[in-house]
Amino acid sequence: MRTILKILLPLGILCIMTAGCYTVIMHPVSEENYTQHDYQQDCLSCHPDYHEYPYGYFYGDYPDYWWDTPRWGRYYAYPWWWDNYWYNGNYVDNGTINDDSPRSDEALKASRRDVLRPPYSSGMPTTIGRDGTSPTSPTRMSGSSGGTSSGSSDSNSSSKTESKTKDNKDKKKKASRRDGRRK
Amino acid sequence: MRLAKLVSLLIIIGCAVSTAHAAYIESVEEITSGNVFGVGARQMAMGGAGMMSIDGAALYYNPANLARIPRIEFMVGLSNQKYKDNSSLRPLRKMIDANQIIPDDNIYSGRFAGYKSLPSGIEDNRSNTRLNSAIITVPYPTYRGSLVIGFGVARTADFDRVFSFSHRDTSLDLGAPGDIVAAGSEFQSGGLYQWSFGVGMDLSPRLSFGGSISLYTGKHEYDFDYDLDSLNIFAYHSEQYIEDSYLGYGAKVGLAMQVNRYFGFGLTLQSPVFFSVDEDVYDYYSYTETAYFEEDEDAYAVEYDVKHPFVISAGMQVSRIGNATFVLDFDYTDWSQLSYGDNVAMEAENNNIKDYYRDVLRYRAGMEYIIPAWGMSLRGGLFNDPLPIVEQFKNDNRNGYTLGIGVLIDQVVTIDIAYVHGAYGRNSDFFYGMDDLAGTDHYLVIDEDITYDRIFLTSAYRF
Repeated sequence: MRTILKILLPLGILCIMTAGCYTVIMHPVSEENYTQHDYQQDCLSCHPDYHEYPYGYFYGDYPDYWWDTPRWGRYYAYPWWWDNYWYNGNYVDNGTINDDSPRSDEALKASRRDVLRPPYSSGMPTTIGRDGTSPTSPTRMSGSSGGTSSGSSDSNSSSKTESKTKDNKDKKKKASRRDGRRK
Repeated sequence: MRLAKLVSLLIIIGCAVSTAHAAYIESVEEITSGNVFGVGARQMAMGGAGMMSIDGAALYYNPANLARIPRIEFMVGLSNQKYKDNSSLRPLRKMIDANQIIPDDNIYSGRFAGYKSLPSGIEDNRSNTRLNSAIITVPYPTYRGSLVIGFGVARTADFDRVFSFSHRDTSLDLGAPGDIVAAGSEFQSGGLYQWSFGVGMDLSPRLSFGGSISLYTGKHEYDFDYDLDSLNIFAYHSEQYIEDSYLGYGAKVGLAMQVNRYFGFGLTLQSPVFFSVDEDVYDYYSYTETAYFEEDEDAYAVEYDVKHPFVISAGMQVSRIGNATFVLDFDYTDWSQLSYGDNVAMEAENNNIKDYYRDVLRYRAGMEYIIPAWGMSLRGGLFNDPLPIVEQFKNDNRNGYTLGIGVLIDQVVTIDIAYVHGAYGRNSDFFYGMDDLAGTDHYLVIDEDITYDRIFLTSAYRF
């Protein structure tokens, strides 16, 4: 038992020392009333270059077929916490767009076979419903999760986020196909 | 003349009974040493190379690569082994002196210089299906880097073996049916289950670190029957049943680095594994002549500790060669550092370990070719897994080839199948008798040609 403690003690100390050096499991608190979940859902508000550094991806080999084929990309590279689940309170089914929805003849068509794009890395950022209330203005997401996160119960926060949304919309580059990997 | 031969024979048999437990060099043989069964069908299909694999089996190969698993995964696997042992008995006798030392491989006792035996061979086989692994891995959500926890159990050592032999001793020139006819059969079963808990995390974008601790549990059942008959003169029968219960612990730390998008490598250090062995033994023999019968039985228990040495492993992966990936793993273990403890008699055997064990370098090489549109992977590999015993007891190294296929179904499920074929040859001494009362034992040499075919079936679900 003493031997195994000799092994585990340095191992534990090393883990504690190295946690936070690179791997970050808690977002630094920068917004009042933001939960860790909010930070996960609202990256672009503070990190407009998020698509350049999609945390959650690991460095290394991302074969082309991981990007092209949903089954490979999702299985081997898409972190589960990027999924937008129906039960997380922010999910809106995109399949409800009807024939009366406004059409654009200027926007690019939606990405195809873009299975590995991190959420909130392109297009309009989401608004966060911190208390899980109904969205005020659903926005469409690109990305494989296919979900839409929206909603707000705080007017200040809502206007602030909408402002950011507008700003980011003006500044963001067009969405590139089959991108998201680190060059 | 006939009476004199019979007296000699009785000395042989009588002493065989009295020295049934005599220690000799192979008393230090540990079935757990150099016994790596393999975990995960994907890894086993690539020769057993798993140092850079990114699924739950990383918990056992290199816990640093747990950090590469992005989704909650549950993996379960089965294995089937068909084990075949073809034995033959060399008509030779080794002399081992009173100090349990074999003076020379080619020195045979004068008493049996005239020994004659008919060549004999016998084949035996058995098949077993077992749980191979059940592993769950849970990535913790991170903003940067990776932190993944894994827990699982895997059957990492296999004790399922079978062995039979027979021979006819004609050296006493008694003439059939008076020749000595001997036959033995050995049946073993069991294995070691390794319960592991591990963590993998990123230290930098390219470098991951991981560690695991393991608890080993298992049982080894050994059953040996031996009959030695000279028709119309005598019959000798012995049985031995041994049950070993294992409880052990150890730890492993590892690093994995993705140097660039084409090349990655990993390193691991497996700590010494400490086993506590609780052994129950039952012995029985009977000796029958025309007007004489003798039998005896004995039951006793032994406890001892055995310590496995460090295992240093390295692996590398070259990927993106088209849709192909190549992997290569090495392990180095100095089995001469195996040692016994917590038992005075077994600790005395530590002096014999260097005469039986040696250091070995294992390698496993494999490749995987992906057919993306089909969600299919084709795999193959080679392995060389040298026996940890010295050349004197080894006939052919353990090596073989592997094949496999894997499918990825609907983004969430993988099913992998691997076929492993391996073979090796070894020899062992079998006590036959002693020529006088001075204490010089004589052993027959039994050669075993062993082949095994293993099938691994693993399925994983990523939530």
